[in-house]
Amino acid sequence: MENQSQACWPYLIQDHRGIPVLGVVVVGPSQTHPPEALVRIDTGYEGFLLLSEEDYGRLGLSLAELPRRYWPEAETVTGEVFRLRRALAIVQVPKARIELEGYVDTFRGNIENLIGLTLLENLSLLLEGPRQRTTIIHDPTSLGFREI
Amino acid sequence: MEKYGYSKGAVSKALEAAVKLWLRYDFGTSDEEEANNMAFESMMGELESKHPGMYVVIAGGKLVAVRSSLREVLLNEGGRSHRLIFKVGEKPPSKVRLGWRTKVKPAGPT
Repeated sequence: MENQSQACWPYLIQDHRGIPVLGVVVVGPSQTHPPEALVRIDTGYEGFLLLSEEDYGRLGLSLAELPRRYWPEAETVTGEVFRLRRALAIVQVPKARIELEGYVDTFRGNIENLIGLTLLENLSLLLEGPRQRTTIIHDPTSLGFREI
Repeated sequence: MEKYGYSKGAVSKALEAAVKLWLRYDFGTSDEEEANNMAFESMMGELESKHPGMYVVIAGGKLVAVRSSLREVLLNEGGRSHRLIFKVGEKPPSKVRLGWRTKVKPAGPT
């Protein structure tokens, strides 16, 4: 793994507020999400990775879908309940030289890409508020990812 | 859930919201997708006993590959409009909470 200072990303500024992000590459059947997309971290999302319908299609994830019986029901903070499409994919974090396997979700009309709790469970992350950056800390005890 | 009081247009607004919700809930399926899911349901028991922990590909309504790594099945068995890929025996959670940051494409003016 590269040294710690290299596996970090400045917060994304939106509406004058810094939002933690990770730089990831998603490997799907058709192509990868090149070269490194900054995806926001959302600890309110329990899944692994949520992709917009457009990115889900571009990566060819209909060629890696789970059987329908394993598509989960999603509930929004306002209580809306609906079905997600779900596929398997590989998520690489090039700066940290690691990759993880997990479920990628999308739903009708979704325009957001978000990293959720299930992906974060595999990483040791440092959210540096004063410095406005996210850093991955190398954790040799973690078994949730492979080094690349 | 949004509530609609008694006012002019409240019924049509509520109906519109219900239709939008229904459309988001229900995905249309292609013939191939339907065939792949039917094949999965028919061979699920057999796969669990013969290939636990393996990655399986179902395409064109048939079992086409059983491999030990996701990368192998993800990148090597291409060219169709729909495929199922899953790890035999792994059952993902059936419910997921979406975060505050989830955004939906606006429907546009009515």
